Amino acid sequence: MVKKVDEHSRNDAFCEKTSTSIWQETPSTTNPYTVSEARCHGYEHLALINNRSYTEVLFLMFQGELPTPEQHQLFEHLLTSLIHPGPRHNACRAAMNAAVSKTHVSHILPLSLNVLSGEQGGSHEVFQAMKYLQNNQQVTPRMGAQALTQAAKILVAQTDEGDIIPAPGFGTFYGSIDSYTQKIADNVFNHCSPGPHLRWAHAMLDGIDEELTLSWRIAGLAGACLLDLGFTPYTGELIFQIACAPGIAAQAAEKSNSPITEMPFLAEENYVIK
Amino acid sequence: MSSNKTDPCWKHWDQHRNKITSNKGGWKIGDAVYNHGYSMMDDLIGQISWFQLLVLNTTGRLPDKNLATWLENCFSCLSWPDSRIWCNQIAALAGSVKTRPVAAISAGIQASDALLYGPGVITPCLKFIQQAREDKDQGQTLFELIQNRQGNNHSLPGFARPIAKGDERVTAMYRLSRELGFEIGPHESLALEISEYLTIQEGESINFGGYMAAFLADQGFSDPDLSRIMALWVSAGVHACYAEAADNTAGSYLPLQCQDIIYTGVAPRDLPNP
Repeated sequence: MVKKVDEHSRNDAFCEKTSTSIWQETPSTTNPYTVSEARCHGYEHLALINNRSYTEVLFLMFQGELPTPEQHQLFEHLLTSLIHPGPRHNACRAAMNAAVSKTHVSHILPLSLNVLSGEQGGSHEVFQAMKYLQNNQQVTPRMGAQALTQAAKILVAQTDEGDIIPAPGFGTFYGSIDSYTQKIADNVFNHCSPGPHLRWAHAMLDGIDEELTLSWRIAGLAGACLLDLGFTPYTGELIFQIACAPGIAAQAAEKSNSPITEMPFLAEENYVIK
Repeated sequence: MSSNKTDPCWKHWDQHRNKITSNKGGWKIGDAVYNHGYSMMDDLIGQISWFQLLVLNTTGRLPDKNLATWLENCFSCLSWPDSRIWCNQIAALAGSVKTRPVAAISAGIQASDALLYGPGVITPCLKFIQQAREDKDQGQTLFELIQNRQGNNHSLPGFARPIAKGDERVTAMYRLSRELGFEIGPHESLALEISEYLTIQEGESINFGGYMAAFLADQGFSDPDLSRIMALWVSAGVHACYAEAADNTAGSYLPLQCQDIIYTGVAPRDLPNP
């Protein structure tokens, strides 16, 4: 039996202090732990509070610069488009279930955002959709449509049930096109200045065989907007979670004083143990 | 805060700056991993169970194997693979949107920190039975103990439960307690007395949280140690329900049509002019 292993430190050169380019805190003269001034990417926090919208400061935080008027408009539209994933979304249902069963309020949003993090209908689908769009920017929309059509046809032949998602963010939704996401996409195109990713995805979807009923999924639309705004897949997934949080939290708050019977509990006869 | 008037008011924080002082142990590279003075590889691995380690790491006390076996079975009692249970349902909802295992299980665990079931009940259950024992020692009758606590809201922590009356887990764990050689202690004895009284008066009885708190109070456990030990109480049931939903087609866990949500808000109206 091996009694002792020759275990020794690698002596990695860890930094001694954390660094950030986002937020600067200047210590007060009376106590080095308290702050006299805070700045976000160089702008004084108090000046931002008094002169800029939440949307603009959120953009600044991640991108390092305030948005242009066009970026502000698109970001504002996107955040409001995503503000509620709908009461049927599993993250909202998780929030409402936790609320009626009297889960500690501190856990409601974290646990619901965990549910929201899924890769089909959740935030990780946004990450993957952004990767897909990035990887296909050198491909023409027509070629993208051909590849997607081919992949979808293979999936249709192989799959008996569930949605057909040949690329993250693009596919069927409950077996058909996602008509409400299409409306949101149309709204973005009508009121904002679409960038190359939105235009590419729109043109690509135009080239898909209608019989396949493939369309934007919300992750695809969010991902295209976020890429056009300069977000990476990593920051895009984070923004998606932030954007959806208000609706999820509101659904829980509505149920917070409700009895446990205010959410369905499947009847014995409908719970089948095979 | 500060022992010397010339010390700055932030001296306490400066003492901890860039320094960790632990009573728990840690990794001394090339020497050993220490847990409360035990060398993990030499003294613990292969010799104690995970539950013994859990209690040791949490409290500094190494329980005997019988108590660890009792605790392990106590965890099993809250680990039903039934996705109608709220914490399990949240993990199933997560599985159905293909959330990663750690996020889904964490969501279920967080949901269980509730006032109606799970680890969230431990503190009130313990408080009640410990106070009741003190009050009884002071000469209060069973009737007075119950009336004092129930007050106006008729809540008696550790007694009655949602969905069903009676609790089969109490019977099973009572049997296990005796099989493992534990004598009935004063808290357990009082809890069972109250249960008998409530059964006669109201048709209610002790629930598993109440029994667990009383038994473990007799074993010398108290809050916050007990709430910390029991944080993952429901985990095996959460694992089961997540796994099944994640294995099934995305979105197939209790899908809802739009009409399955009843809207009770105000009727459609136009936005006012800005």
